[in-house]
This record gives sequence, structure tokens and C-alpha cells, in this order.
Amino acid sequence: MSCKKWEQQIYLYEDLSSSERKQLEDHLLTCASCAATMQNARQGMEMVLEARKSNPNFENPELLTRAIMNEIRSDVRDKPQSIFSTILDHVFTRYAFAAASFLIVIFFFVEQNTGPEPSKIVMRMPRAKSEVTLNSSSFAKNIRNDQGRNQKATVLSLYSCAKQEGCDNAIVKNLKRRHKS
Amino acid sequence: MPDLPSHEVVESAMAGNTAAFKTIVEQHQAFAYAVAFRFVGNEEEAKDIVQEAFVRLWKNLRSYRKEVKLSTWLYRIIANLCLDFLKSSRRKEKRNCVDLSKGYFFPDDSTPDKIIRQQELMRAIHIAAEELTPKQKAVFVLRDLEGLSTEEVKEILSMSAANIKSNLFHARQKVAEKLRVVYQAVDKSGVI
Repeated sequence: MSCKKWEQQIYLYEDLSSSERKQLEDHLLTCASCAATMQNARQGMEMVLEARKSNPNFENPELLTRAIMNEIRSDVRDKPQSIFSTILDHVFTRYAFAAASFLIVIFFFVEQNTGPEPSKIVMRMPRAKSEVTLNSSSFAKNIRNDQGRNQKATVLSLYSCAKQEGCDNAIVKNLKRRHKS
Repeated sequence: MPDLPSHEVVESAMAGNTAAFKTIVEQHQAFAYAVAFRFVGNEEEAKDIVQEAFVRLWKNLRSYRKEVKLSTWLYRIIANLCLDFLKSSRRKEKRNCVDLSKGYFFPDDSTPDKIIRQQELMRAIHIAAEELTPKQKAVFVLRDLEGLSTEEVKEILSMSAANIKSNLFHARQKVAEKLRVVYQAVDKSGVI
């Protein structure tokens, strides 16, 4: 063991077992450096033990007590405890809430695994009301037909006639011809 | 450590009785102050820490477990507050302002010469402890200056036994070295 290792044992001498103390004392007989360290450690320890005898001088303890109690009483006034919060703060209530929450979670998982199978949801597309196919050529044909119908109506429809110039004359002529015949 | 408060007093304080808590404060504040003062070396700071420690004790008294001694729990709160203080910037400002002028009580039968020597020793110990890291200082104060066992220190600081041994070794080594240097200088000049 190097002197560095012995050094730790020297400063912790009173914590050593009797066999460790014996080993250290044997080493001190043969190592002048460690023996000097031991002397220095002992002197330091004696001073520390002497210092332990002097207690810090505690003046006016009643003032400190008053200051502590004032702070505690203001804390009590700031937080008036209702019966409800007292019950909630109780250790038993806390454990009861924790146990209840745990049981709910367990019940949820058990129910998920053993309950009836959920019905399948089938998505259906809405049925078309009539079969309509969009065809641009037939669409154009319909427009043309409509235009043709509109042209024939110019003769028969008074409204269409009103939109066209000279129609009124044609109607008057028609009426006169019918009247003569 | 001070005598334990009776079971009824603790139960009553736990139920929110401030008078019962006052009894606990009166019973424990002297030793709480001693621990805090040994850590910070300043009367005002030590009193602030003690006050904060008792307020924390009051606020957490409902979660107190009876298997832990109340004094151990109080030690733990004070040690944590002192460690916070030692790591804080507030402490760095006051690092060289160790106020020991009226810091320690000496028995009435002490001669003036003995009191001066004791005051010098306390000042030297505080100066030496200033060199320690917060953890080393915590272990040194509780184990060597307060005289607690390794088991008690382990419980208060929530550290492993190996960690305590390591910190205690470094703390004792640094303090012993510093004391040797300080007292060699005293031998030469006659003043610390």
C-alpha cells in the first residue's frame, strides 16, 4: 500500500477496525513520512475536539421564537383550511383516490378485452337518382334543339314575337288573312 | 442532540396546534442555531436559516414520519439550507466576514487568557473551514464539530458511507494543514 492510501486511514483513524489500526501502527513504525502525517492529523483533531466544547452563543432566543411563531401564524391565517380540504389532504384519502383511479383503469382494460364485439360500420355511397351520363356532344345537341324550338316559337309565342322587330306586323297580317277566309 | 419532544406534543403540532409547535421551537432552536452558526459563522445569517428551517418544518409537519427522529429531520432541513447558502452568491459576498466577536459562549470559570486562546482557536477553525467545499464542510461540521456519528451524518445528508468517509478525509486533511500553517504563523508573530 502506498503512503497516499495510508494517509486516508490516518485521518479516519477512529473509524478503523482493530485489525486496520494494527496494520497502520505497524506501518507508522517503518515510515517517517506517514508518522509525521499522523502527528499533524492528531494535533489538528485535538484542536477540533477543543473547539467542539465551545457552543455558539445564542442571544435573545425569545426574539427568534417570536419571529418564527409570527411567520407561522401569518401562514395559518393566509391559508384557512376548510373541512373539505382537510379531508382531501389526509393520507388515507389520497391513497383511496389513487386506488380508485387504478381500479377504473383496470376495469376499462378488462371491459375492452371481454365485452361484446363492436358492430361494424359500413360506409355506403349514396345511390344516384337517375342514370345520367355527361356527354358533351349530346349536351350540344340539346342546346341546338332548344334553339330550333325557340325559332319555331317566334311565330306562335306573343312574348317571343315582342322581342323581334316586325313581328307585330306579321301577326296583324295573319289575323286579317284568317278573318277573310 | 436535544431531548425529543413528547409524542403528544408532536401529534398536536401535526394537527395544526401552534402552541404545541412553539414548544418544539423552544426546545430545539438553541441546537438548531448552533449547527447553523458553525456552518455560516455569522449570527444574522444563522438566525435567518433557523427561522426558515422552522417554517419549513411547520409546513411539512403533516408528512412527518415517526420512524425518523424530529431532531434528525430538523438537522436535515438546516443542513440543506446551509448548503444552499454556502453555494449562493450571498455567501461569496460574506466569505471573508466571519463574525466571531460574540459568537461563542465560554463557561464562567474560564480565565481571560483561556477565553482569548479559545476565541483564537474558533477563529482559526472557521478560517480553515472556509477552504472546504460545501459538502466537505457539511460533513466536517456535523461529524467533528457537532460530534454526530457516521450513521447520523449519513441519514442527515443522504450520502453513502464511502462518500462521507471521502469528504471527511479531505476536510480533516485541509483543516489540519491550515491550522498547522496558522499556528506556525502565530508562533512567529504572536497574532492570528
